[in-house]
Amino acid sequence: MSDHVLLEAVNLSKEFPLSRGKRVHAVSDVSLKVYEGETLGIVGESGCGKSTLGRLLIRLLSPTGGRLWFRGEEVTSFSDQAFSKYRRQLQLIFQDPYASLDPRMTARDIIAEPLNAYHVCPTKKATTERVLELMEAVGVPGEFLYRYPHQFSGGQRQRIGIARAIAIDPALIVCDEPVSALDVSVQNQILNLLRDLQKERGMAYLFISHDLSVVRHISDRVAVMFLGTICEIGPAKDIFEAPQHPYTRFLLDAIPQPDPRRRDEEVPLLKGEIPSPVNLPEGCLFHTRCPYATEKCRRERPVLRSEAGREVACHYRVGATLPQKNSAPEHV
Amino acid sequence: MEKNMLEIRHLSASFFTQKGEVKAVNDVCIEVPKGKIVGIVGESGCGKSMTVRACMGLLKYPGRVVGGEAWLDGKEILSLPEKEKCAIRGDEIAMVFQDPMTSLNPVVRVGKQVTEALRLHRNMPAAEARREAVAMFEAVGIPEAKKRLSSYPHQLSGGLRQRVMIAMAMICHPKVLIADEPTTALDVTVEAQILRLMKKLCSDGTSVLIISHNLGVIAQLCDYVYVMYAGRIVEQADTFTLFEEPLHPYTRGLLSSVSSLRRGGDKLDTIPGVVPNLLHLPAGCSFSLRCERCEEKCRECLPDLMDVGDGHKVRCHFAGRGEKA
Repeated sequence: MSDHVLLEAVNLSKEFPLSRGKRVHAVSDVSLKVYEGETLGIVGESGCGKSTLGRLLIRLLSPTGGRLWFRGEEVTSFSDQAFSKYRRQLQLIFQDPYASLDPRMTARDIIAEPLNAYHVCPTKKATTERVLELMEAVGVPGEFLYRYPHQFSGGQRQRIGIARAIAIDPALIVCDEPVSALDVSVQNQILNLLRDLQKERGMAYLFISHDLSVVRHISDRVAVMFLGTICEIGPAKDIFEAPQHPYTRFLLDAIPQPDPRRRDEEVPLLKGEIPSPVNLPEGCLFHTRCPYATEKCRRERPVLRSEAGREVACHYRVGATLPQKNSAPEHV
Repeated sequence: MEKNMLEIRHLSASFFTQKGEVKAVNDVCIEVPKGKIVGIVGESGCGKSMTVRACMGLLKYPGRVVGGEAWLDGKEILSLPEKEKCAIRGDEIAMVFQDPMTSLNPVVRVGKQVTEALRLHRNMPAAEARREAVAMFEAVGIPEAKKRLSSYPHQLSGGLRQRVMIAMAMICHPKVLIADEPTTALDVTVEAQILRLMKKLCSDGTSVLIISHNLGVIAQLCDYVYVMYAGRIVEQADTFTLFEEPLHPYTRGLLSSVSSLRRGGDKLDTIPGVVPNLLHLPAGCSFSLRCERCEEKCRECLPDLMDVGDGHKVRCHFAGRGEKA
């Protein structure tokens, strides 16, 4: 991890048009930086705009508002062709390893595709050798070179997706729920692999997941999203040990703990469900579910404010004042 | 000892495919005592869903029950003719599925779907059934219950849909409720709400059999747990024993996978390898291919489900030696 900013977004927004002039506010006013070689985790419930944000940051979608810099150069208004010189620095790993691999291509051809697209290897033979190196790096036996996706297990398929993503040494890989479709025992194998590869090759990850324990494990910094905005961003340890936004607190407390001794802890539950991203509430987006909301929250939308290395979008930083479930089990 | 409301005895079920017989459920015995929550945990493809579908008589071609019995409150239900099974399903035994969107009928108002069981099983007049449905909606925490009866499934959020599913299953006050991954499709804050609801239902006397791959859900909810691997029960114990003194290497692997993720640190614990293909199960212990302690004996003969005391049973040759994780 270094202090060099790889990617910077300022007030990035994306709206999708619906019929009758309505719009889905998928991402609203998101500002963040991704540093070279770090892992930035993005957590949130379904529909909060995590994936849209990931796609905006690597320009698979163009924003309807805001600006984007890549290594100090503004790329917001670049045409696809002008952006193509940065394209090879940005790769993507998808959630469903089966849907993201072409069923009619062999493992060799799948992994060789980015190599061919950027003319990395001069000959076919050299390409195959490079593919074999990559397969070894991700732990898929070389004898499976000419197998098709359906002949692999879920974990192996995800490994092939990873080999394809690292093939041209990108600076950033957006991992969009890379382990959600896998079983626990296999999920950990993939997480270990991602971490080892980062140590060897030094690329940055934007790690999108709804699973807080996974994000906590892999991330250096974490951004918590709610309804298309970031409600809290900071070092992973701080966010998980001392959340300051009430939503982060509720999210952490809601995880069912794999420890039967903690079942009788009565944790406060969030009422209701996420408001629709079509009709955003006035004021703080979270106030409809927040038990601590005041008149000010209903009127005025809080912006991300930085304090001690942590940015929180809450007028009161309520989370910090609540009793800690994890550190103080004796509270009643 | 409480009476068993549901008792599955030596149940086996297979898929008969062109490539051969896939033994998805193999000699499975499960007991659900009255008023308790029993969990089945395991990874995808281990046969958890097949087991409960088989005992509900819901297996689809090419799947078929090949042996075993299921006793519901003292009555064997697998051998009943289809017509009598229909009379029981939704009345004495009911099921909640993982994905409420695909298991609700999208073109029928939820009120009609929920009252259907009452009209069918109890011959209840429509007005009375509606009153029951409103009461049940309120019991499962659906706001504006009366208004919601005339909603279509797509007008409800995921959490509300799952509450409708639970209301539908509970409307005839079944003796046993089977829940197949009831919270997997839901977000974590909504999941917590549904788990609390299921706990409340159980304290009202319903016996629940819940399937999940999420050890957190199992730990929070269940009184007794069965661990399945490759179609077989490999370990069973009360929840506290299972989480504190797991004996089967697979259970230990699962638990340490989850706990190392929560503990942090550099390397996560994993179980090496992958789940074996059910078409070509190894001759001996089905976990032998991935087990660190595998010996000659493990590859050759299948261990029995051994009782190591207090209803804690383990299918491992080494379990009796009392080594703890």
